Amino acid sequence: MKPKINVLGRVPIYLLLLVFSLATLLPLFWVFLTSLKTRKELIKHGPLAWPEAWNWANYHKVWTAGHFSIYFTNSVWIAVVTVAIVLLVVLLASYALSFLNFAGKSFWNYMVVLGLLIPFDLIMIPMFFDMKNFGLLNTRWAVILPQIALSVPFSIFLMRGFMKGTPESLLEAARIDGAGEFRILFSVVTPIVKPAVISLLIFTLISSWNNFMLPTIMISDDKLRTVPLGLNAFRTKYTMDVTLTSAGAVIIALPVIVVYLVFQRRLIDGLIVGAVKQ
Amino acid sequence: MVKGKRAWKRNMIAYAMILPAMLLFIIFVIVPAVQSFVTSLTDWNGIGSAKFVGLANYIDIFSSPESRFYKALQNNLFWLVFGSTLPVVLGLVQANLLVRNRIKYSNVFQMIFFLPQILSVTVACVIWTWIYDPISGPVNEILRLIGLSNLQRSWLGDSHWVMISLLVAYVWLAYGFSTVVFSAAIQGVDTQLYEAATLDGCGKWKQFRNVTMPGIRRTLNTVILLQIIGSFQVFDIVYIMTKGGPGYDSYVLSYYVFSEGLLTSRVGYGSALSIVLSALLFLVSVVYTKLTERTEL
Repeated sequence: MKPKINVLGRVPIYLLLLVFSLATLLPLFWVFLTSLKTRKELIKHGPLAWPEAWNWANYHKVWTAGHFSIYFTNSVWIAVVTVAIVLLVVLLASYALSFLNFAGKSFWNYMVVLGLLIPFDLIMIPMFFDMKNFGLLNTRWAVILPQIALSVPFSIFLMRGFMKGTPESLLEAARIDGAGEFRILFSVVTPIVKPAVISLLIFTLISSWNNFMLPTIMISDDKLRTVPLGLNAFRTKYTMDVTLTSAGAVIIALPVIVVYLVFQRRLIDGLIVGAVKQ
Repeated sequence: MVKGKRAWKRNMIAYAMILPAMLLFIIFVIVPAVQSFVTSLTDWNGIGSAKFVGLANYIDIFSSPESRFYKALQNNLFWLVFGSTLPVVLGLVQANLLVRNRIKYSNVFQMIFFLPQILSVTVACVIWTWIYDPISGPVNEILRLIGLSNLQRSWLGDSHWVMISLLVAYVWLAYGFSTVVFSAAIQGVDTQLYEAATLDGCGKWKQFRNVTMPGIRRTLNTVILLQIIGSFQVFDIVYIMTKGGPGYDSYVLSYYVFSEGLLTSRVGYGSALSIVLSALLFLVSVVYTKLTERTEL
């Protein structure tokens, strides 16, 4: 029997939670409203007024004249390639580190832990000059390659944790049937850890889409900018026009919010496992 | 010999599997980390040849009158203290309210609180730069409407308020993570313990202190540690919203590394700063871990 709960006593709690929710959502909603205003309107009625009409002109202007269509393509390209390579190399490495015995295994496990401890600040300066020497500065690869490398330790850490739950007997059975290790990874283990793969996919996708520091260092050419860089450059260029920048902010936030709403539980569960089991 | 051959083949397969990830990791993480050490011992402007200067950069960091190190460190400590406590306290309160009161739509609330976390920091910064805008921003507008015009100021341009303003934006952005993680942790606490505590006459606060807190201690320690690590790496917010200004009032170590090493091309000095930052981060993490381990015994 569940203990009785005083319904009236919970009203203040709901109110408090609503206040928290409002405080969290209000800035976002505000920016959306601002993106629908014209500049004149904002000056005339102040920041708190409701927009006069649903005015989508800012979006059109940002998308075309503001180059957001180019930034958007760059961000999608970089995110998709990053995610594909991260998933592939992380699945391969996590499988070997979880299930195979080989010379030097503990050394490589140690490397993964070491990787978790290295802050980006420590490597950003040499990384810039290395990319310059490789001739990759101001290319998409200057963002993609370090992004993959930086996500390797945490991703392997996460994936290895999930893979360890797979029963060894399944692997043995597959080996007796004559399946090779690659075959076992992709047709036995991967389907079992599918939820973890999806978590990792969403997590890497959103991190890549939102990444600011690395692209800032590697990319200065306007045609190669990702959306966060584009928005920041745009903001600096049109300091006075809040309505345009707001439209740009909505364009960046919207795809992520949609992905988040669809895969919410997957993303959060992945993060919790990462944080709690560490 | 057959056995040796099989072992060799097994090693080959394993290395074929780990090498793609490990090669990328070594080339783009380990090698640059070593390069940072080497570069920190030189005087280099990024173009010509580097000159070996021993520990001169480190001595400069700690004792040169032009060094911004202490200012940046002070701001990082501010961020360390408040940036790791405020989101944790908020998260604890919310998670406790959500889980212990069996709130309906708890998932919806969690989803809302977590939302800012998934946004690009750039988006958050655009929002908050505007909120703080002295002329067209809502904060000053609201102050004017409620008759407190004398409190209006340029929130990001005022040397006393700039770090606090940045921190508020950061808390808004980051607190949902701890709410979600703590909610999961509190759900994992054995409900029988709460029933026993109720029978013993423990009120809500005592239950929180004596059942919830011990039950989620490990998660709590991990979340605080993650926030501490994050507080050393705060960069995006400062870079986008203030560029370290006004003057050097919102300089943080991470931004100092970036501006010395990549903007003003004092590459050796910037590298030395990055080593100091990493050493501090490592030291604080180890001390924190040791302290929490001790209190657990």
